Amino acid sequence: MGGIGNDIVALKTINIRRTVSPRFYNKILAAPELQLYHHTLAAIPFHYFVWLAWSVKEAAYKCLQRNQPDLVFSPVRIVVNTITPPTLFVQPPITFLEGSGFDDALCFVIEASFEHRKLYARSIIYADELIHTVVAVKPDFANVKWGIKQITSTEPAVQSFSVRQLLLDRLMPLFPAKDLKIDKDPVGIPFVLLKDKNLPVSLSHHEDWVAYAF
Amino acid sequence: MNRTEILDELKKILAPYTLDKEQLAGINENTDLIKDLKINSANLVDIIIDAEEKYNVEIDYDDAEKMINVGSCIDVISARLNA
Repeated sequence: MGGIGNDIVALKTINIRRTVSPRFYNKILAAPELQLYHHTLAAIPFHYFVWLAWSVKEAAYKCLQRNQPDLVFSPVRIVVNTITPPTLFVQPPITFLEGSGFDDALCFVIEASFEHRKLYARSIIYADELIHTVVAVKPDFANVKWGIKQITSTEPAVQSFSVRQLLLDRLMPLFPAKDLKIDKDPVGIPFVLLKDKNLPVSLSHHEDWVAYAF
Repeated sequence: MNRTEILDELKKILAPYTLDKEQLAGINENTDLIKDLKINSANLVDIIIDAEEKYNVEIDYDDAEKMINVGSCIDVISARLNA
């Protein structure tokens, strides 16, 4: 069973003081994840780590929900097991970024799990702007396409329109003869109907950032 | 507190996290926090913490994962207040 999920966090909106309080992060992190941070990632600010973990969990939930529509999102039950940090960082200024696959030198290479299932993630932290994560059930991201864009509004209707337009702009050259339409299943999971199959797509937005992956 | 009183207080907790003030004014127990109020999932933990502070209760993650719509939020808060 395939699957993909993504998530974007606009870092400028987060409350750092609240994020670093145990009352807050204990509702997101499992105990082994705190040890993971202190043992291998203490070089990055803790509030980045909390939101990086959140982003992985949210994207993992979207990925898992495709095959388990009644799944309830419980952040502490999706566990980040390993993280390899990037050796290079995405340089500002960026308002738009797209890729096919990921350059592992520029992203966090992550393995996570939910119950007995293993999940794989790639996350980008861009300065103090954003965290974008893509989670898949397979370790090979070579065929995963993704994009992020800064928009000029934080209105939900504009976010929703903008992320769909961004995705359609990416899909049109790939499927030129088709009248592409982004649809949602009864649970609200998005897909694009192609001639012979449904293409699973994942959409996310937070504040003035939108992102897709498929 | 009865359910109507909790709902009125819950509106105040949710207000900073939704731009859709019209939807917020008309919420009922079936209102979904994400789908109807367009609250970003990144704010769900904030809402739980705000509710904990408002009612001086502790909401563990078994309870937190139930807080999907207004009715389930009221269920959890009500159960904690009566615990």
